Amino acid sequence: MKFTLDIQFFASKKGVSSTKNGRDSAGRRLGAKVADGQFCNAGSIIYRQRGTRIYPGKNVSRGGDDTLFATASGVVKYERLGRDKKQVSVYPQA
Amino acid sequence: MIKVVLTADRNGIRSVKISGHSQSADKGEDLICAAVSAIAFGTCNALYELGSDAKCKVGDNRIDITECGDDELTQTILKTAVIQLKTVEEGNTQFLNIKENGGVKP
Repeated sequence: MKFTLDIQFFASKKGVSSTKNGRDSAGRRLGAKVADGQFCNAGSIIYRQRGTRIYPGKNVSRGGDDTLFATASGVVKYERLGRDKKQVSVYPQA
Repeated sequence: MIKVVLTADRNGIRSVKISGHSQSADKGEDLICAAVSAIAFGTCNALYELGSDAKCKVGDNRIDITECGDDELTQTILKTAVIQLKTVEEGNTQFLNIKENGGVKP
């Protein structure tokens, strides 16, 4: 039997560069850096976040990028704030 | 990558199986694919028109030439095809790869 030439017989079905997707930015490593009940020094970062998923409590301040950091040395405590919010505080050890 | 698998023994080439996607460019612009397609289809039609008993089967991105006799006509056509494929393979090994099974050079 004679065959009719398909000049692109071994080409891939979809275009090689058909998709413009497939790119992503590097992970920002957000989240808790100090766990509940852990000791931390003044100035150390407790929680990295975008926006205020967790609010600053006692002895904790919020940086320009919403990072929460300790303003005193002590034990970290994650607590409820109101009905549906959370806050983190640092309680100096006696 | 297009894979070409040759099976040969001391009497000559027994089968030529070509499969895969070249992916050297988009469909319609893929030059490696065009070269291999032309050689493969041309070989099948040459075997048919010149009276060889070899069997050619065309599937989805696959051409199998099997039951190749060791008569001079069939072997000359197949060796010509192998040389042509090897010529394309030079400098394009990321798109075309020829493997010879059976360890016996055709």
